[in-house]
Amino acid sequence: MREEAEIKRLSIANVTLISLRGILTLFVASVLIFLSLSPTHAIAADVIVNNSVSDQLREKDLRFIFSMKRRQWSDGTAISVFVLPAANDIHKKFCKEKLGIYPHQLEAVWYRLVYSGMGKAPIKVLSKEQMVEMVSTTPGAIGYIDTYVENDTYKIIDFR
Amino acid sequence: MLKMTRIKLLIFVSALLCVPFVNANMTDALRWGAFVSQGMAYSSDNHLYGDSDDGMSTELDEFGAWGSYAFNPSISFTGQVSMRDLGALENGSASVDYAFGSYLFLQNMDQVAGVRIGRIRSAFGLYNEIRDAPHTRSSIIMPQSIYNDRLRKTLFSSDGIEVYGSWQIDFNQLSYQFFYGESHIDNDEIDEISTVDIGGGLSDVDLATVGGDPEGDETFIARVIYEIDAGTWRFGLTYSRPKYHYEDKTGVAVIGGVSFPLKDGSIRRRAIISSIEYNHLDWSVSAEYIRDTRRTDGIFVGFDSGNSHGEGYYLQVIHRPNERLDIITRYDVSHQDRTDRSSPLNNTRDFTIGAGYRPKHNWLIRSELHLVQGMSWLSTVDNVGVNSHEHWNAFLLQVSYHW
Repeated sequence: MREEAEIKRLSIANVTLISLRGILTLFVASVLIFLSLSPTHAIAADVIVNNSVSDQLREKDLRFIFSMKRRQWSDGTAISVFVLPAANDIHKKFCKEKLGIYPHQLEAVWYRLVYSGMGKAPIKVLSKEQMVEMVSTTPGAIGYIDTYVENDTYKIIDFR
Repeated sequence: MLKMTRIKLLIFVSALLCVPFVNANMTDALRWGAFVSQGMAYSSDNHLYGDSDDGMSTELDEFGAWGSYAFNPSISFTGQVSMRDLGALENGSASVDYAFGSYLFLQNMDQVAGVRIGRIRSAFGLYNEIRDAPHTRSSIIMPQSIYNDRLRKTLFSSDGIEVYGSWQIDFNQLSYQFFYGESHIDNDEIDEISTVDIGGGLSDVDLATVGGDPEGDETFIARVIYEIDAGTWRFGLTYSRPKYHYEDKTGVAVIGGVSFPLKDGSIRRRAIISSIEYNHLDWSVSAEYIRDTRRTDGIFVGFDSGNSHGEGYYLQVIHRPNERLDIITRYDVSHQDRTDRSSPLNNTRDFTIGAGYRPKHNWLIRSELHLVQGMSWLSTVDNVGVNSHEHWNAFLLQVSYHW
């Protein structure tokens, strides 16, 4: 009798263990699937500036510039900040990896500036093609893209 | 039924129709934005934004549109009109929230300084300027210890002149605002802010029934904010000193059901707020502490002057598990009178949990639960003749859209 009870107990423990293991496996698998499905994963976000910009930028400068706190380059040219829509994957990647904040946190900073009348938000462009066009043609412009093509109107910033 | 007037609806629809055209024409010089929201409130007891006691009030909607035009990099004009229905506090009529011209007289790599003239949003605490639009504030009900909805009009903007600017020091920034001018006030707010200690306390004072003429008077506001590491840490200090005067016309206040004669008088308020905010990845923590003094001279015949020393604070934590969702937890405490920290008429403790969800970038659905003890920040005009309860809960839901 005691043996039977022991076997029963063990098998219940086993079933519990198996189902717990199963749930854990499913959870880990789903996380891995989500991560692999995440479209931002394979995307790069490189910072580009108009060729007129000669300042040496550090990665820390970016958060200052994209939160619209710095308005001019060292030669006095106005900084024109261009951004992609909040839902754009390159924008998300840029915010998280280059600025270290979430897109809507950055937006909250812009709202604060706009609504207090102390400044303005960056100019929104609708596509990466428009981003390249605007950064190429606007003196003092800064933006970001996923793939850089060698050219003489804008350049990539290497933070290494 | 949604409580939206025909005019509101007309503006709402025409704004919707205008969107594709205006967006296409938005330039760097011309900026605009708009928002519309509809909320509902349920409370277990007491009325919050309309008849919410054991029922659903939909007197919680707003529409606002702002625009800004830069004539050149130094001169610009900014303004906002809005219509709000906030229970009996606001009835949905259109008003100019702010409208000012600004001139930047200094702009270089490290510094910006300017002056603005007109109706200016008041620099009061960290969030007064972003309290009016659903997508910019952290919750449907702002922490009432600081951003009291009963005094929304007088706190929100004032007419006058302001010198403002910011100064970059490495990755830190010091920004400052100094305002001098005249504040706004109406009968309801004079009712809320006036202090006279007769039995039931100030919550029972009802000036709204008399045809007096309250007006804003000399007002000074100063605020300094220091931000470390591009906003990781934000420290703020505010000093606000508005004054109001009351010109009596019909001379009766109803206090606890008894009529008292009125006379001309004035009210002064002095408030100091210290603020702190910390942002790290998907977490934001903020806390603000206010101390204020309100002094009523005249107004109530037989009560020459009355002083009230208030205090309030809150601690708020926002977590954003992903870019569509935010979860907010807050503990908010208000003491209308520091010498009385127990009576529910003078004190309120509000524990809030809430969440905001953005199904699309421009849409926001927000809901929150308030577990409240006390009635000090409940609107008097919403609760006239209501059997008040010290312990009450409220649930709010709001859907908003912004352009």
